[in-house]
Amino acid sequence: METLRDSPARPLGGLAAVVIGAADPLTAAIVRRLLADGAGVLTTAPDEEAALALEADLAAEGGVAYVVAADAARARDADAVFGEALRVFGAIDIAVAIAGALPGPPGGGPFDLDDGAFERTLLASLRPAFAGARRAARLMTARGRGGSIVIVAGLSLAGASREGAAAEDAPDGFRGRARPADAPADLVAGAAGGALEALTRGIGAAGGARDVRANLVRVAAADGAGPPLGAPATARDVAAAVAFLASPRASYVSGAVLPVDGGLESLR
Amino acid sequence: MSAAAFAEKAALVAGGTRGIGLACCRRFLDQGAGVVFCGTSEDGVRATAAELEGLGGGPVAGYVCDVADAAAVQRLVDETLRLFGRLDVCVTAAGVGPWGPFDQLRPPDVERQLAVNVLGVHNVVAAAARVMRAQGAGSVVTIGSISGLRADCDAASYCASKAAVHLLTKAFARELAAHRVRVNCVAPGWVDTDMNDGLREDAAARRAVCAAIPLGRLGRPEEIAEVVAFLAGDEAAAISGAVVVADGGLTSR
Repeated sequence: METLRDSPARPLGGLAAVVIGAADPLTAAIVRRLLADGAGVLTTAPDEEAALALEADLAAEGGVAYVVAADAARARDADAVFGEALRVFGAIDIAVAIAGALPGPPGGGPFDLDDGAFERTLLASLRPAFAGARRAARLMTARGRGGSIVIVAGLSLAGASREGAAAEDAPDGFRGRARPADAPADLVAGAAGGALEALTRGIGAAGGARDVRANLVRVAAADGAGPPLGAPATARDVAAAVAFLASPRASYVSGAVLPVDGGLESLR
Repeated sequence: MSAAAFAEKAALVAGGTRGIGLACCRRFLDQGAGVVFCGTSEDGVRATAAELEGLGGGPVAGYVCDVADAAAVQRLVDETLRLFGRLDVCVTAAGVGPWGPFDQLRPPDVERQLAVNVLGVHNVVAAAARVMRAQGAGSVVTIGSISGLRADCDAASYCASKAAVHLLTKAFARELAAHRVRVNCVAPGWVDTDMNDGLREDAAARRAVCAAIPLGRLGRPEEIAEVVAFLAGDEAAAISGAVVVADGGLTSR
């Protein structure tokens, strides 16, 4: 991961990527971008049907990605996914983990959330990132050629639109929440976001000696009038940030947070 | 990303004769931009201009300009407009010491540091913003530092000056967002530049610094310029007000 700009048109040429996602528009946008940048890509889908659909969509555009059905929140599935990626590519250079689905707010006040909802939300958000990043970091450090781990946090995959091409530029179903506010699930979502940042930094600190970098893309969307820049971040914007952090262009960036949120960061 | 991400664009790099600023000039020229840069030393500006012209990238012009002098900065921006008719990207990379025990520093040196590192950023971004507002487009990248995130030893006023750059960045971003002008900051860690030339001569100090960095090495100026180029370009269209750390993991420990 040391050489800068070997080939500007294919900055990820010759590299293999695993994208732990949910075959939703955001995952698809990231996969498309990594493919366009020259990487080999294996990604996950919640079931066989979604896997085949995504594979067909990509193939229709001339892209070849491997899509496997897996529950990304289960460590055993994550191990199987990386095992399959190793079989296909021989090594893993890039791992992208999209933090899992957050259940919608169950109603009631911010302090009414019960233990069950707390655990479900926290685990759904943290487990795929933890399971994926842990497996990736093990493989990358053992191989000794480094690698890049990117965790995408802050959006609700559960709410993501699955409808057609328009969804490519849609705000991914997480419009309406700039930060933890009054919806009960948001207290936990905020805590999960903080945990994901700490997790990312911890991986970066521990993996650095073996040239493994870890960074976080933090996505958020605003209420009502929209974010300061006027338009919410699109799936393409998020994918561009992921592609940058994944690439050798970001060779000295590790433990960093890249907020892709239409300028909401200026209000933090 | 295409090989000429900044084709037909005009970039201004304040503090472009050395270190990170110089690497940014090279990066933008390599990507097809026209570049105006400034430095405080006439010899430095002349030598840098000759070097950059030799690269055979986009057009380049260098000027002597002290960023602490608002009128001189205005002339620099006016000159950029005269040359290119536009200003798409502005990078503030001028930064100075002194470093040392804070109660041993000479007050004029501290004043000069704050004038360059803080007021200089304000001057440059203000002059650029007046153009970019009118254009309804533009991207500014400031150079902060991890020294602006936590206290370094023997660097009190430097730390304060860089913390100021980080908050200026967010405040500028907030004010300019409605005009589609983005403002972001790269906060580098230890980078192998003239500013850290002490580490080039002192192998033991260099080893101690590198031991604290997860990636185990200093950054190269061109690695910081890559982050600047990403934030400056259209790929970061949804990013503003961000302070992006590029420190090899140092502050994540």
